[in-house]
Amino acid sequence: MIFNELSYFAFFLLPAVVAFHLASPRLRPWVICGFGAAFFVYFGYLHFGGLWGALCVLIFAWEIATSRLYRPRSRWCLFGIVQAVAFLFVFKYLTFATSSWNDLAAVLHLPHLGAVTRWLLPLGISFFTFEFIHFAADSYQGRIERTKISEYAAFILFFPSMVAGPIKRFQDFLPKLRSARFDPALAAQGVTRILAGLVKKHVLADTFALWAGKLNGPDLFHARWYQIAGWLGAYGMQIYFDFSGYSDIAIGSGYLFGIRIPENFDWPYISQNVTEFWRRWHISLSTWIRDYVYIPLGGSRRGPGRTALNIIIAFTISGVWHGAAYNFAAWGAWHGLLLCGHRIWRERLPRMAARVPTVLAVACTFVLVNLGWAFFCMDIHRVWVAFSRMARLA
Amino acid sequence: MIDLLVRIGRGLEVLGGARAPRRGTPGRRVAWGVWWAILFLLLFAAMGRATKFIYVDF
Repeated sequence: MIFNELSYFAFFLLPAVVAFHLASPRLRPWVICGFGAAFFVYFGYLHFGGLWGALCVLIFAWEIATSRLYRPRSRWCLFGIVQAVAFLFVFKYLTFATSSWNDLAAVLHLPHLGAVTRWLLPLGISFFTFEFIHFAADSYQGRIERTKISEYAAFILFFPSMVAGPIKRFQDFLPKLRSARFDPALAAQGVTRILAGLVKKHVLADTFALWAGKLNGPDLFHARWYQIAGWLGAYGMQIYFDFSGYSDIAIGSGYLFGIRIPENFDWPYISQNVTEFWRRWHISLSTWIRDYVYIPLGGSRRGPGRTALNIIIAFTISGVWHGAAYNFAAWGAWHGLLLCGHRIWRERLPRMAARVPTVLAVACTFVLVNLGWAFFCMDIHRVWVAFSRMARLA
Repeated sequence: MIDLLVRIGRGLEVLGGARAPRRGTPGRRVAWGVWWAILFLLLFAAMGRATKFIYVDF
């Protein structure tokens, strides 16, 4: 969807790249804005709620307008953060929040709320709201220089990274936007990257999906433990090739503009522990969560107990960000617990931790991460079935 | 062994476009064209079962 549609390349990427390089430096941000808005309207209309989905482009117009009020230590920055969270909550979490409340109310005999059905999910809302929050928070801290309206608009409407990241930082993007020029070698590298990304998706991810799909079918209930373990491993490979392929296409598209957007993956499955895994997997999200959730919560500055709690909170939020459902929260909490466990292991038994052979450390991390994918790709009931069958070696 | 794995990894990064290749001689450019053709062929062979990207709409 989108990056594997011909219309993305024919109507947006190629015309935008040509127009961007032909335009004067002053007009280039407006070229990105124009194509970015058209991209959002076209794909929003096509796949994300029809006319209402397309009209969600007004969220960007509103954000651009309010961002002009941001100043260091200004309340408008706090307003910007609150409104970005509110966009995310209303469109993505309202249904989940009301149904969760009603579940709780049934147990505690509290008043019920009316059921809310999800109206629509604007294209890329999980990602663009994180860029809005970053801009407002960094403006509040005085870490962002005053800039032209067109440059901020180009930042949030840069369509290669608008839908599913990588999540950019304005301070990193702006100098690249200003100095962008057509570089044939970088453009050729971009084409390679786009092609490789598409191959990762269609040849590798979609092949692994044939096995991983069994986890959500009837086969799960009478599968042997090693079959379930194999399917989980297949899902681990599917999601890696799917999302890293997606990121490759986004980054390769950026290369055609002469703009290097952040990397998202760095061989995550060769990590020797879970802490390292999160430095290599979905890097732009994990650094965002570190900077805008974990550190504001206090990070590791308030003692070991509070550090562990902060890690678990940050990763549970990261889990819920992936989807409005309990299984995603459980996936985040699983990683939070693994990170706390690794921290304790590293600090209490440093000699033993240093003596673990690299191959064993990589294998253990791979197994733990892939067990965690169970929470990501199945509902809680199925996770229970899968884990209980594997635990009994059934 | 580790050195060999690192070199293989770097080679894969170049083939995947994540790392810049060395400056092209004519022979290298032809090899690059062949690699693009292989990627295109793989893509067209597998395109029929197009599914959505996992991270696009959650």
